Amino acid sequence: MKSAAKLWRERGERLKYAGKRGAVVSWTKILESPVGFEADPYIVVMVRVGKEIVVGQLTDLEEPVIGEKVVAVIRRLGIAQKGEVLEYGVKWKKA
Amino acid sequence: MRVRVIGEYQTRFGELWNKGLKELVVEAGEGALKAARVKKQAVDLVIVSNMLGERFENQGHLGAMAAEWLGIKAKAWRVEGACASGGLAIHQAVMAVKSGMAKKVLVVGVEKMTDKSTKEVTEGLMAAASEEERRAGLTFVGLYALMARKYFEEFGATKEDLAYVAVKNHAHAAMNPKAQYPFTVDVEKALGSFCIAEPLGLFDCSPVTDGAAAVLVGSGETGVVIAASEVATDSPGLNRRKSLVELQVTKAAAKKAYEAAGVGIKKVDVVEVHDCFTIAEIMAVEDLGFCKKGEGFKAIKEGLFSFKGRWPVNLSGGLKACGHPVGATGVKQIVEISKQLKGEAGARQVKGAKVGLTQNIGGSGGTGVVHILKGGQ
Repeated sequence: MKSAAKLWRERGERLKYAGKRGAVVSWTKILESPVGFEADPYIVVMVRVGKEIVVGQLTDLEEPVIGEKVVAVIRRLGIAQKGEVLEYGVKWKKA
Repeated sequence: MRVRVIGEYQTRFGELWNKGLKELVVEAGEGALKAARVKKQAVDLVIVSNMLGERFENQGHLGAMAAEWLGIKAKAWRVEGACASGGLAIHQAVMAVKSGMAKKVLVVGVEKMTDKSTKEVTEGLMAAASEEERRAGLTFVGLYALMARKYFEEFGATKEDLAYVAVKNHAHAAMNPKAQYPFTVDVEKALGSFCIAEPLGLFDCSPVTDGAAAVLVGSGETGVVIAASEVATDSPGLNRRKSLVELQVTKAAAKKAYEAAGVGIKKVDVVEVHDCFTIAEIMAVEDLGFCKKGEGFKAIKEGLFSFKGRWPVNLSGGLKACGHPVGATGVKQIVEISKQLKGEAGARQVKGAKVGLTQNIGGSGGTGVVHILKGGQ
């Protein structure tokens, strides 16, 4: 269960890369998702942003290629279960 | 002081609908004591390795619980380190004997997984990942898929190259009556399975498994010697590692283990590695030094790590085909190597095997445990 306090506490970390640009280092398409991510398939990208590497979902359905440029946008993450708070964070969109 | 495996036992691995944590712990624990010909009263420490007990069985007090189930009145606790829980428990047992804290330590690795749906297991296993990875909707198949794609890009390997790992480990499992999938598969069948996380398909993945394994560790004059027990840690988050195509924990723990045991790879006869996914075995044989980086997939295809090859790897069937009851896996690897070094491995016995190595990984490479065992000493 995601608590409102936890999501509020971690908001800075979740939104840290909003608006940043990067390049795809690796990617996968998830066809068997965990609880909370029922809308599979979806693509997860590993992105180089400056000296850092971060992971997040790709908003596009079209498969990326390694090296492709992406930009971080704010989106809802996963699916909230009954009584849970909606979680917002960063996903990556083809630039 | 020489620390030894005095007795060992593995339950059958698989979908064991008639067995829960209790039955698995008792069968494995009593089996190891029987093999060691040691009475319960002689055990002065019980260490249980388990990852998912709280989530799946609402059991977060497994040390004392297991001791009660086994009828052993001794100190008892549980160790967790994701999929490396078993290796860490063996490491603790070695430390306990070496320090003089305990004389006979019963290590029981156990996991009960098949009561839960695939989605629940997928979510539960992600407890071993970073918050960032969970937030991205990643899975463990997905994490290793990210590594596989990078490996493909750097070294030109393909999905077909991965399939040879599954084919080899199924061939080995066909000789192991305790394996979850004791049957052979060919490359066509392995490649024909559906995709779980691109580029990894079903036959690239270890299964969801129930099972337990136990080892009695102590000193004395008989038993397989645990010549090295080394642990290394790195970031649990894949994105914070130096490389996506190697596990630093394997390299670091192996380097220390070879030094501590006084052996190099040339002396090693049998190996059990953590093939939670086919790509993991390819990286493991490279990181352990059996071949150069980027050449593991070719060596596997050429048979270097098959039953009749130079270094037979995963004769148990590995995690892929023997099964992967998470908390039990690191202990099962020790059971398998001990059997090999005692000449008790049946149809898959490597003649004259004297030195064996195990590599057990937690998460996607946050924890690594390497053991080197010696027989006939």
